[in-house]
Amino acid sequence: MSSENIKRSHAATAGAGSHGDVMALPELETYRDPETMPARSGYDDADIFLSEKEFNDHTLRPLFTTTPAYFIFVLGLGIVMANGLGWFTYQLFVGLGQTGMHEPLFWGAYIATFVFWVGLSHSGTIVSSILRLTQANWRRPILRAAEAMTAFSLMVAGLFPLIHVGRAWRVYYMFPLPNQRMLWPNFKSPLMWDFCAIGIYMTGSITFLYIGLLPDLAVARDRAIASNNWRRHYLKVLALGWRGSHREWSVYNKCSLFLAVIILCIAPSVHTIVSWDFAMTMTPGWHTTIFGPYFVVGAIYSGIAAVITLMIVLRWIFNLDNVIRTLHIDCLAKLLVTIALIWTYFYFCEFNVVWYSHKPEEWAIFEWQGERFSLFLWIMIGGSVLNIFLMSWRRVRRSMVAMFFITLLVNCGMYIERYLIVVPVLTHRDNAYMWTDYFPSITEFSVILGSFAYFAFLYAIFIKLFPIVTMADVKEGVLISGDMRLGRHAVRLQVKE
Amino acid sequence: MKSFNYKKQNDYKWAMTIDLDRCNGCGACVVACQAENNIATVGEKQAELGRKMHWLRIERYIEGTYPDVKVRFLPMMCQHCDYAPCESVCPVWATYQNPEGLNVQVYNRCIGTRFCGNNCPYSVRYFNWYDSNFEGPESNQLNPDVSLREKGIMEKCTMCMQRIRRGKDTAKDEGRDVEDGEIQPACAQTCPTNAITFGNINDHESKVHELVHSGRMIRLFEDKGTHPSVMYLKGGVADVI
Amino acid sequence: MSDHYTVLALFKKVDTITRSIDNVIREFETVDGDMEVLTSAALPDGVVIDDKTLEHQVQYRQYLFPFILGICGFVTGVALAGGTSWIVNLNVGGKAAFSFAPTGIITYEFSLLFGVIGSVLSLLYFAGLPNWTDRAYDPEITDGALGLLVKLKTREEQEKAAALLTDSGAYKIRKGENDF
Repeated sequence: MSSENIKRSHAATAGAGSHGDVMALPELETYRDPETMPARSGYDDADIFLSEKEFNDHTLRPLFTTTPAYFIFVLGLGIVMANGLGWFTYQLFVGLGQTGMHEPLFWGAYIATFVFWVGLSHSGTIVSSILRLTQANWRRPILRAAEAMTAFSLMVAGLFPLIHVGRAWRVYYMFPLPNQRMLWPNFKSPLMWDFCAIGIYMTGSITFLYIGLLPDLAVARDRAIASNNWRRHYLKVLALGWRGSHREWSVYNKCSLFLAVIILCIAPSVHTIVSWDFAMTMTPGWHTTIFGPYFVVGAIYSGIAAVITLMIVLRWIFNLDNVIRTLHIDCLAKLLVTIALIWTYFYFCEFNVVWYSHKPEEWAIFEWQGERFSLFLWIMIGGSVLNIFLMSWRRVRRSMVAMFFITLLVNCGMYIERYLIVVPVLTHRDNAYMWTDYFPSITEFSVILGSFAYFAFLYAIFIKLFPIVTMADVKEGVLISGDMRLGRHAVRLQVKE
Repeated sequence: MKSFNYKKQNDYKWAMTIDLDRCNGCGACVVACQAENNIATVGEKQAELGRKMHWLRIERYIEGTYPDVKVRFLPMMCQHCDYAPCESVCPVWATYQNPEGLNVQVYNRCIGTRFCGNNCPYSVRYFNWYDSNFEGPESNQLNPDVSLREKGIMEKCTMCMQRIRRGKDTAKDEGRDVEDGEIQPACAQTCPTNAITFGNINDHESKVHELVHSGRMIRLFEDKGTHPSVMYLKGGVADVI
Repeated sequence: MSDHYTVLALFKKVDTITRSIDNVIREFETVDGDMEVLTSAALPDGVVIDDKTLEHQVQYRQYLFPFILGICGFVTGVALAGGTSWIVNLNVGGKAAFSFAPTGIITYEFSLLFGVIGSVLSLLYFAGLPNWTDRAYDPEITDGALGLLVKLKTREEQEKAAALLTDSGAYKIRKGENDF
């Protein structure tokens, strides 16, 4: 279907509900008249003027239609992944000496990347559940993409402890499996909390993603069966025989509510615990009470930025302009500005406290940061402040190109931030005799690059296996909202329960 | 000193003093430690990267500017803290406080998260970045009492655990307590200036106890609240002993 | 011998389906649960049918699943973290064998994990999923058609209902035994 068809004027479809087998979305929609609708509140740039069948066709197109470019892309990712895997395998056999780490810098770029990926996972489900709970209407199409991002960045993050530990083949010592060897995890260790929290967060967010998928799986299943597509085999099983009965919907909505609340409780705890991996030590520069909220905010900051980047890429590649609309990027950007302000505030707090008290062991680290990583610092702080100013401007928020680069800059800054949390602190420990410097080796670079490719790979596979747009939510949104003509204005109405 | 019951049941609480006024930085202790504990020699390249694994290292501090220069030496090893920061962060109990006040590392349990190394303010924990490589004549001088360590695990000073164990066994066989000076870690045994003294601090007759209460005792990074069992002697007259 | 007979009628508009429901209720002795609406999006409760059975049987009991499992998770967390300090009484870092903070953290996480499991179980239990059997269904429902599913006792009634639903505006009728 060409995009012209999709963006067809309202006049052509206004009466669609009453003729032929083209089903219109509920009649409320027919009150709309875009010719006279003033541009208000961003709802009107490309609302769904499609029949539900067309909407399904359109949003499921990324699932059922694959171009050769996709295979080339996936192949490219595969090569980068294989490269990373190769280096990791070599490291596994030879030893961690392949990395650039040495005493007393025991954690390096791997851990920074781990924190980055865990951070990235934080917007998906948090944003998704907050928006669900607050019934923000604009959330509807973007939930799936955000939730999938959470699940996949967690899967990538989960690999890093495995890559990082000295004896990856003995990692099962951390599982509470009863055995005769008296191997048992120490629940007093922050790493054990981390292990539990991330495992539980991963379980929770994959469940959340799956439960959100359920009605859309039914849509995809019906299509796949009708077109005898190979996807029907797993879609049939995964859709669990969903029919969309009233009972199912009502139970389903309640379950989504439970999950949203629970995930909202898990997510901040996860990154707080990740921050405690650092804050619970007595290492100067890490041992600070601000780390919990600071990490959580930083995580949401980088996560929302990544969601925006991903949305822009998705709507560009799959031509989903009328589903993931300018409005969504705009709303997410507003959220991003808020979080950016909070994050800058936290960064200022952390810096200001250390600078003022000037405790030698802590100040040494900051001085070293400023000396060794000044360019990084400028990208991180300057970028963040610049972004706040840029994104206060409506035209920037609504420009896809600008937002793409801004959000990329945000995530570069956040990666740097994680690196600057891990590395300068460890190179300048309490014992000044052991002060050192660190630069990641080619093994670390390859593995980290491989992790990015792995994330993109997982996402690319997901898009070809599952519907990427939250279709049921969009339909519900159309169903429960409409416009009313009030004087010269058309006013948006929405049912809220 | 400790809130744990087994301290009362146990007579031994090992401690060490190092007299900084006596230390001349000869490095004999480093070599002795290396030989006694089968510590891997990492080679020139790895040492340059900062991966040398001296459980006991001599830290050299230079005071003043030329020509008014003073060099000070600080033998640094695992401090065997009573409140060891490295212990509680290990997710697999690979390191813990043994009933005799030593901070022990269980090699077989270690999975190499290296969290302990990050939480050690003294930076005295060492990681096996590669497999230890004892070839040729080197392998003939390995200490049979000490296990070799695999790649990917942490190790550190054990206070020559094997010697302590042997001393205690001998004493038990003879039906007596371990006598003062009977057990000597390799570093203390080798020190030509007798700067290192090892003993049971619970035994009030012991030399260590006497030195610790000589008024010259300092502990490193005392503000960290780690209560090390290794104590340093500094200042005053060096006429004790 | 089948238990009951089913008619699935597809409609295009919410208004038509509500009218048909009224007609069916007037014509047959139906009780709550004999009629079901199949839609592609969640209709707010009461828009088409107001299922009192559902409300009473499900709405309140569904809370119990995550709640009870959450309590199980709480117990598991306490048992894991607290039990560990009881069994493995090693001195690490001079910390007390049983410490509240780590136990609290583990307990919190496990309560939430079990809460997630409870929520999913509540969905599966109350919605009768998974059910991969061939049930009364039409692929057009996911394309926006509104399906009305009526359960009837005899074949005559089924025929009668089908006719009635066609008259009321259904554009497609499917008939079958049991739930097809």
